[in-house]
Amino acid sequence: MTEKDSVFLDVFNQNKSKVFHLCYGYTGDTDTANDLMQETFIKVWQNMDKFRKQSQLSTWIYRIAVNTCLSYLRVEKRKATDEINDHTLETLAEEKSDKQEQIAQLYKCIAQLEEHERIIITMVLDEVPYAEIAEISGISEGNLRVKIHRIKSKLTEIYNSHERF
Amino acid sequence: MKDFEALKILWHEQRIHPALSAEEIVSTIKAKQSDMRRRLTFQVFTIAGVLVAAIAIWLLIPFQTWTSHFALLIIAICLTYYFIVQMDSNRSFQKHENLIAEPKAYIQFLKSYKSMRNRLNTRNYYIYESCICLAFALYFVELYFVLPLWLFLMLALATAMWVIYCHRVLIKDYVTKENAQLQELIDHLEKLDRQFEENAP
Repeated sequence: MTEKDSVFLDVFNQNKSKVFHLCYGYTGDTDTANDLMQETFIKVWQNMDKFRKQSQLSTWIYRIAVNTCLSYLRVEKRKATDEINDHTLETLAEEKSDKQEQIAQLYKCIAQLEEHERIIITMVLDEVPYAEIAEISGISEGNLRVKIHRIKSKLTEIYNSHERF
Repeated sequence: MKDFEALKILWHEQRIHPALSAEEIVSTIKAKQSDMRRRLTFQVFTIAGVLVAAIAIWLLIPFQTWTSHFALLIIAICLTYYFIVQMDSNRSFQKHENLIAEPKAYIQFLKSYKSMRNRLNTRNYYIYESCICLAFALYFVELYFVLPLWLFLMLALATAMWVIYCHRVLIKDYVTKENAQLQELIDHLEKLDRQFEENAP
């Protein structure tokens, strides 16, 4: 194993879950999320030598992941955002526990948000610092705080409206 | 009823994990790299082969007129130019440097890449095409003296038809497809970028 391979392994293991959550939250489909995650890490590998530590490594990787997600175009017409992907349901239904059902519900609610809101909220849920989210999404921190407040309320409202039924 | 903090706790309890390992990704990268190397090698050998063939024809066939020599020189220059430009263009897109930048900068990169490709596929291609046509026309001067008239006319007609087909159908199809792909990507990114913008509702 080369030095680059072992550095990459560390980088991958430290960031894989967050990148996967971002891709999964954005697409609502595990297969596509895995494809986007793979594409993200391929770009990370290709550009690793160019990383100059002007920002944190995780910020840099998130930026690549966000741009990869944004560049993702579905070949088939997109389903309505309030319909969770069948595959997602199947995957999550395999785990019968209440908790996993609630998580499936949470993903279903995230799927109802606007695309940029899905990206921001998955980072918030993964506890990425606001300054880092602002840098990744290219908007000011002040504006981001307002947006996050709005998205949090929207998500909570959607989730609770589903839970009532 | 759950508040956002409860949703966050729920989020951290998820057991959905990526199905990929770092080893799989590294092996995919290495497979892609070797595939890319194979394709580049193939392109290099193909163009080198065509160039060698052109030079061999130049040296081995005793052309009667200076126009044929000039035609071969033009073809050799055109082939080399087109090859270098294509390689350079592929390399610039594969670098992915702009993916490191913010979404806005990435859109800017795609726009400049699209206009660069447009220049290459229109103005530069027409110059290239004109040079190739000139080369053929110069070579046909010699053919006029060595071939029977009916054969000369047939060859000239076939060449002209091929050039017209490339000009009116092949390159237009190629440009339309490439433009549509890039434009779709830019439109999608711009639509999302507007959502990120400060004044978006």
